[in-house]
Amino acid sequence: MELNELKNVWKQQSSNHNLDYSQSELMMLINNQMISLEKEIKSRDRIEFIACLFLIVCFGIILFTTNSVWKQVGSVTIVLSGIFIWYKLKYTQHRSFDKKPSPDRPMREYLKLEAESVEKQKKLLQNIAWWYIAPICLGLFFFALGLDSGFTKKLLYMIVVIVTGGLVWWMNQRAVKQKFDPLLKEIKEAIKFLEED
Amino acid sequence: MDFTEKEFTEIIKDNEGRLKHLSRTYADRIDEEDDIYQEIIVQIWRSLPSYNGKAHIDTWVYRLAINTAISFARKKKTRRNYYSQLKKEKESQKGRDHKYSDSNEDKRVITLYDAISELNASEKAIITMYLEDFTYEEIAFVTDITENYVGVKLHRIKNKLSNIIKEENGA
Repeated sequence: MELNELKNVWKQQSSNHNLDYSQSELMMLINNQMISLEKEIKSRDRIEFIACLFLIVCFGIILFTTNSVWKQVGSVTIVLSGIFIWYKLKYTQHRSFDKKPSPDRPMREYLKLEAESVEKQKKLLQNIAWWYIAPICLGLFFFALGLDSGFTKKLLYMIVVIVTGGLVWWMNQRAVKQKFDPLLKEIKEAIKFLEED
Repeated sequence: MDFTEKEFTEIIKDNEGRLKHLSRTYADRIDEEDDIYQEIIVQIWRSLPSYNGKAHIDTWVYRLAINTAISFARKKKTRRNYYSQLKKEKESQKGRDHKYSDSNEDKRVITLYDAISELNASEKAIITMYLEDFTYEEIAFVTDITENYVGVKLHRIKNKLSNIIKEENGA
């Protein structure tokens, strides 16, 4: 195919008639999409809130019913971690990521904002050890010290906590490598193409 | 600017062909084409109040559509699965059981889309605008580069496309 044929070939392509919408269908589509997006955000917020509430309630009860100082310290640490994680997700991640730039901006500007957004998401996952895993693991360690069991069982418990924390960390780093790095590379390539001489 | 539902529908109808082609260009699979097109329609509806008339409405709509299509990639939930699957598809593909295969479609259209899929997001935007008969001025408005650079970029993209198509025909 020669270059001068490109336009002719382009114009000859068949139309996707699955995407032909009447006015009423268009408005129904828009309403459905808006409702669906709202539901998705609410559902995500609800799940995070419930997870946090579960931690607070469970360890809150233990805090007030246990005589072990270590269990109390562990419970307080976990409750505070739960609140912090919920805050981090809701007010940092969601405020940044849900505030999308308007797509009617010039493409070059929009690509840069997209790159920024992906970098933020990537950083959040890269730092997950500090704001998510470490606080909870620390709380669980303190809790383990207060368990009514022998040293070996406590040690085993702590090993399980470390391994689980490590697995969560590894899975998130894998997501960074497999999801965010390729996406960032694509966006940066697109920006570079527009900006290079 | 305020737009009625009827005016919105007319805008969509006037740009339907271009938007469908654009959705197809940025989709990695057939099932994504519909999702991208629907997302574009929703974004046009949401953004219309901010249209200030500085550019022709069709050009403004196209710019919004391109950005929406690009943004779609960020929201793809199964991106990890997509990469490993796409790699398998590309490595094993011999019979051209192509994502856009349609027995009634001109093979040259499929070849062209195949080639365009190898381009980056900016290259796709510029070449599709060229193929849709947008002027250099309009392409510059959408991409935020100067008209002179549009010509330079287009030249490079055409050469790249030509090489890709020659390689595919030779394969």
